[in-house]
Amino acid sequence: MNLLPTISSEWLKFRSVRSTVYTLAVTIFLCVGIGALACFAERQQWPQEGLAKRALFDPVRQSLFGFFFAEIAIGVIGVLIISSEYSSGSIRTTLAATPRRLSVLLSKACVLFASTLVVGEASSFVSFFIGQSILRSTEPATLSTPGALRAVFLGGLSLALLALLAMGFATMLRHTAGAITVYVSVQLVLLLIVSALPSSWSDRVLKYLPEILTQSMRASHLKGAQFTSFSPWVSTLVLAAYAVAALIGGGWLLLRRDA
Amino acid sequence: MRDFGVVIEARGLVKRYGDTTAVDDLSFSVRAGVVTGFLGPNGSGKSTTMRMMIGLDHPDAGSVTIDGRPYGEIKWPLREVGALLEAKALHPGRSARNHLRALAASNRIPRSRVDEVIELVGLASVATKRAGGYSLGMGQRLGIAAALLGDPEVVLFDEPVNGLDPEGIQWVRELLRSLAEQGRTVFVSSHLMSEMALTADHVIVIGRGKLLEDADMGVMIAKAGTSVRVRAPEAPRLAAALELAGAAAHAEPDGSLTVTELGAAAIGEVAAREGIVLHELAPQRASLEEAFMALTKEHLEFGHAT
Ligand SMILES: Nc1ncnc2c1ncn2[C@@H]1O[C@H](COP(=O)(O)OP(=O)(O)O)[C@@H](O)[C@H]1O
Ligand SMILES: [Mg+2]
Repeated sequence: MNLLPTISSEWLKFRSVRSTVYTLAVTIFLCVGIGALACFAERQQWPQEGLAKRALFDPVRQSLFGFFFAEIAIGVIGVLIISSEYSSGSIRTTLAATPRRLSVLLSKACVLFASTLVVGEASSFVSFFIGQSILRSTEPATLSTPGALRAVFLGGLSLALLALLAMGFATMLRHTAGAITVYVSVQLVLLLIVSALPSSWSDRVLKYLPEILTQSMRASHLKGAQFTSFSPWVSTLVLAAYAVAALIGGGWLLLRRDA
Repeated sequence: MRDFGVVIEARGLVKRYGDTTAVDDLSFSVRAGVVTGFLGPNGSGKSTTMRMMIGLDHPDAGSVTIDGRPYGEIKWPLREVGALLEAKALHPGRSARNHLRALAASNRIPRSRVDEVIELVGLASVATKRAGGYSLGMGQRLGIAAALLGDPEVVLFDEPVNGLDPEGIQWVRELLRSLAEQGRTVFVSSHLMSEMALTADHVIVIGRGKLLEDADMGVMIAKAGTSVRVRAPEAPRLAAALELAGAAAHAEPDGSLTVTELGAAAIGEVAAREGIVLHELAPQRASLEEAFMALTKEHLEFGHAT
């Protein structure tokens, strides 16, 4: 199975729609801008912080605060890469050109993963460096601070994995608004609901939620975490498993259904 | 007539959507070198059949092959089969050129071919504009460009003249004819018999998903019993002469005659022999439309009853 022609076709489709390019730019802007704001606020707060609070402070995670918002933008990109084909009807043109449907899905996933990884890592590193320079008067991190490089790298990767998860939802639902709703529900609404449960419950469930997984991924240490969570690497694996499961579900339906 | 053998074979195709049987045990074959019309009223299952031909919809039973294999097994399908689907099937935010380039890339078709087909369908002036702003006719031309992109031997066009202006309709007819003359397999659907009468060499007629007729156009016309409208100052005398010659002549309120069972040429000869002046001698296509209506009527009535 030669995927290259399909990948180059999907790559051309991906970058030739202005809204995709804008949304990727918005993602970077949210990461960097909100991360810088969060760091600025922390710097103002710093002189009043007690020693205990300072010991738990994670300057890396603080500089990646904007990711919380960027996750929504990246989810929209993941949804649109496939749902826009259904809303416009171009899915039929696509599948007529490439009847091996899994090749189409896999090519889209490759294009989405590669481009959101580049955007994610760029956002992550830029947010980190800007954030640390703002935090200079506190206790900033460098890339050689234990856990810092890992957190910055996994932060970027988390966006790419979330994009794949969103694409999986959209492949199953074939509907832009529906898929975005499901994605946002999983990201935020579920988080609110589970947080409201008694802590004996929420402690057990929270760590499985994508938002908590990504928080763990972009932390250089977990000393200050509000909830028990998986370690950053385990969190990465769990999130990747979700993305793969959603894509497999989507692929299974794509093969069975009429286009 | 040119005939290069059977290329498309549909065998016992069945497609159900819930309670609707859109395609009902449909079998037919399509030959190369001729235009095969696929005719049926709206909702008779033409688009569904064409989607099954290119592997978009899965048949509930039966199969359809192109050059002996299912569409899904063709390595670079756009280079062998070009399909124009019913609905506009492109992203509104993408330009015609990028849409075609992406399609070309997927089937390893040279990029130069993209500009060729854009030129061919007359979209050069808008090729870099977003497709969302295209008119129905421009969208249709872009669909045709996509179908011709891989220079395919087989073309499947679903209602290609929809949304086109008269000039565009004429252009599509000539395109279909010339593709067939080059020996390609041309399969084109329409719900208008009059359209088929102008382009098709062969027609497959369906109604409510079932095969009603599969015949050469000439046979269809003969079966339909074409009528000829004749105007003559001595209409009654001409009518008598024509009836003697075996025709049925019916006097219309406007003084003309509608003649059936005898062609225009034969009518002219009868008139000349009798020394009758003719003011008009016009074969009528409407009768073919009527034959088509009659053929599908019982199915439509059945449809309304359920
Ligand atoms: N995706 C679908 N879901 C449900 N019903 C469908 C679908 N596609 C077609 N149909 C039904 O199948 C029948 C045939 O439709 P179609 O193939 O579009 O006919 P035509 O192209 O001849 O107008 C119609 O009754 C239509 O409503
Ligand atoms: Mg149709």
